[in-house]
Amino acid sequence: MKLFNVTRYRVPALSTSAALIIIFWAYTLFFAGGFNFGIDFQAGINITVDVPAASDEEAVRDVLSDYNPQVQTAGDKGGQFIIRIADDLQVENFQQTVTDAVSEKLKAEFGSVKILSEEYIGSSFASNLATQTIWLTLIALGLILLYIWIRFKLNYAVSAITAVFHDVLFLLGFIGAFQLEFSTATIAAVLTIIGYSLNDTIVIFDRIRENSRIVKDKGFNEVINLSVSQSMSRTLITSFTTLLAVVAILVFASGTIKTFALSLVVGIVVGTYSSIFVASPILLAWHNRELKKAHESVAHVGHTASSAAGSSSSGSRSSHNVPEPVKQTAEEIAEATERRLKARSRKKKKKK
Amino acid sequence: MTKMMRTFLILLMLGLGVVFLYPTITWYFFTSQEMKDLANGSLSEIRQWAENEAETASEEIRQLSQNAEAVSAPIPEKFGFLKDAAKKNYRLVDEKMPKEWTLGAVLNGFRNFNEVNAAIEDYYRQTILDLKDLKGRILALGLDLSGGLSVVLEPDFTALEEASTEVLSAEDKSAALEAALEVINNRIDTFGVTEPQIRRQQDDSILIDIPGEADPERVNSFLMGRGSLGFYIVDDAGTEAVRSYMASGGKIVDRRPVEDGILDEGLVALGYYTKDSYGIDQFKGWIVVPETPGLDGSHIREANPGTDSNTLQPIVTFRLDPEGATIFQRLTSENTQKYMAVVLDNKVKANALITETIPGGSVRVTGFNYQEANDLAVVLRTGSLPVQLNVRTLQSVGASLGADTIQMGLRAILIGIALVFVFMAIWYKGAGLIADIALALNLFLLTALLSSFNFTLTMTSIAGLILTVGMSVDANVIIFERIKEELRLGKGRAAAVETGFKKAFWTIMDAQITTLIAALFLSQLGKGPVQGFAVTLAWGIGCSLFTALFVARLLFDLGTEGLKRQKISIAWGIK
Repeated sequence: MKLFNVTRYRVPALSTSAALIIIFWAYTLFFAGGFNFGIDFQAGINITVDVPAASDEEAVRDVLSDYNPQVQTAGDKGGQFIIRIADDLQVENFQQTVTDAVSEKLKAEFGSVKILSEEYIGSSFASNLATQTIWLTLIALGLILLYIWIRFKLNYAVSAITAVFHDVLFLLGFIGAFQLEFSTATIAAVLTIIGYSLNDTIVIFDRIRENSRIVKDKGFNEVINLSVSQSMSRTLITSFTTLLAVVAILVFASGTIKTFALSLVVGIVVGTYSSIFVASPILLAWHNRELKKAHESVAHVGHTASSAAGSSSSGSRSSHNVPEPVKQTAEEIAEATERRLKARSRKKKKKK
Repeated sequence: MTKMMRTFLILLMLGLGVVFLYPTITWYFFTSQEMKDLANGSLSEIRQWAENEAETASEEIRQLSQNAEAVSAPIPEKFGFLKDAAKKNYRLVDEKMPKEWTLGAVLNGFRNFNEVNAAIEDYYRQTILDLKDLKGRILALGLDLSGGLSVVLEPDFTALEEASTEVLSAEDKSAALEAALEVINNRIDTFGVTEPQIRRQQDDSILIDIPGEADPERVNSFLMGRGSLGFYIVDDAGTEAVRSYMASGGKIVDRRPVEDGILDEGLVALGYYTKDSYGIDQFKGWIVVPETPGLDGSHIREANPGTDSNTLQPIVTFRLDPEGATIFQRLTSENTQKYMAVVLDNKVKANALITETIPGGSVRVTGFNYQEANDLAVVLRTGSLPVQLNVRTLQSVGASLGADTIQMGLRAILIGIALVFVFMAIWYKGAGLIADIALALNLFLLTALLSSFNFTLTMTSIAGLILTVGMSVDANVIIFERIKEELRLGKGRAAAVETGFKKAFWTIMDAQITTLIAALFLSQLGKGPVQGFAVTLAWGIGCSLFTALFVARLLFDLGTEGLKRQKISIAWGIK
């Protein structure tokens, strides 16, 4: 097994994440003019029409200029467009009036018009959905935090949730910066990624917890590195298989579901990254801070505690009360691990 | 648990899966489109069909019964169902059963042909009703896949509040809503071939699903009733022209004669319908009216049937709002001695002579019998919704677009699954195949479960399905990686599998439960697509836990003990 020294990269990793998130959000808010909310969140109408005679989006947009529509080409057959018109509450019976007007105006200009599909969301529903979503997400996160707290410890729970926030912020930033449509499917994607990223993080944390009980002669950062390395192949394979399935949708499906798949692809990559490079370093930082506090209080009492802690380790001098990161090379740790594992297996064989 | 027990449990689950999936498979693969359409239809349509079929069939039997050879031959296969009815009759009269069920013997079981006819009709009706019942237990396709129209309407009580002098109580509102629901029910029934679903939802909104119907403009026809009811002054010359035109074999399309020159511009020909004793519209003739009504139905406040105290003639009294009263007064004063047509949804429902100017906004229409007076009152009542309904959400998908979507979705899911299958088999060799079996079983159980509660499959739930595939492999990966680690430590097959599963158990549980928490919350989000996604994901997690922890384990154990395998095929580097 190759040992990955992931904790060494925590500073560049965390600052890259922070920088990217800030850039994405800054771009979204100050240059792109906010999120590209779909009709799920912004009252309005989505009409997919088949107008064989219309040459391009511009032609359709010109005909409907009164309504200030967004026009997008749909499918690859040509002549099919998605028309989106926001409901500004100025028109009475918006859905009927606008549907009729659109089909009449297009008919007058292009002759044959067929409405393939239509979606309308009223204003009361749109605002409901937004607040409902935020609340549900926060409550869900709260429950997840509680679950991990019970199953692990508070520091694990907080680290995992921080990683989740990182993923959500990153994904939303990505969606905003690239002006992907923000719809209910986006919520589905975000919540899926929350579940997925937690899944990833928890598998690693589970290993860290297990190892921190078995491995007594190493610093916590080494325990983390060991655990990440041990679960590395699982992390990569799972991400790969999930990506296989999701990329299949991205390539072979169209419409909303494609945007959904793209969000998932980004989310899975970020979720995998965050469980290795964000969640674990935070856990380590928390641990180190606690340790430092403990040290300081111990320093007042005397040196007895540190000598007692040091006596347990025989070969390596770096016991786990050293707050600084990595003082050993990866090989040394790997060798030590191998030695320990071999010794263990020898013991087991002897027993048999 | 012994291996026998575990195998038995899995077989039981498989059996249950088959039972759950049976309706879905029968419906999608072994039911003709014609039968599906019938099962989708309304009850009266089914009755009509059964009657027709029975008539043809009993005619055929009557013909056969004239033929001595056919009578003594065994009853034809397609009428085999008559045997059961005949048997029952034989038993009723305590007669000895015939040795051979010839056509004659079967017919002897009935007193006359009417009974045969009834039995046949019964059979056909029951076939479709059974199919309808079956439809309630299948994995249904959502509107985005099958095409259709879905509208959520929300009531707006402000107009009603302004109109009434008192403050509306909750009961008043509820009653108004129920009445509106009934109106909508009436209207949709009149034009639908497929059976629509009309439901009042918890928050007092009204959900309408019409499968197969994709024209969003149709919503107007049942929603904009206030606009679609109107009073028109009949154009006598036009009506006469259209009548003679139709008598000479003319044709009317889209309210206008096919040939130009028959009707002036701005006039339309509408059918005049009266209700027969079954309450079905009967065509009476064509009536020509201007395109725009003299007074539209939005001005009507209420309509009541009654009796004139002087003449004892039935009348309908309707009250107009002030603006309507002015319009109506002018209209009637300008058109005395002309006919006025009351038109609902492009159908003329009543046609009466205007004898004098009608002021005051309270209009009494005579010239109807009691039945007609009642009908007119109903027309006027149902013509305007008791409460203003606004469209909250609307989704309509053309059937062809739906077919494209489902084809694309199916292709995406099949390719995704195939890729995952191949990858697992290559990467984990023998163990990968076990994971593949578990995954296949997972998908099977998941579809079976979803069809068992008549789940509606939408595009997002297909996405949930695909995600389930990706993530359910995760449980297997965690276990396999653990087993590999144990193998590297030098353990044998049995021990490695045992420890691998044991160590992986809580990791998997913790990981999946957190995802489940997210999925369960997602399923509470009130909107269809996201809910579909979450429900699929949540059940997918449940199924994958079962297949990865239970089924895969059994397969490993069977390999160890049943096939006496010592080695494990799980990776390229490890033996």
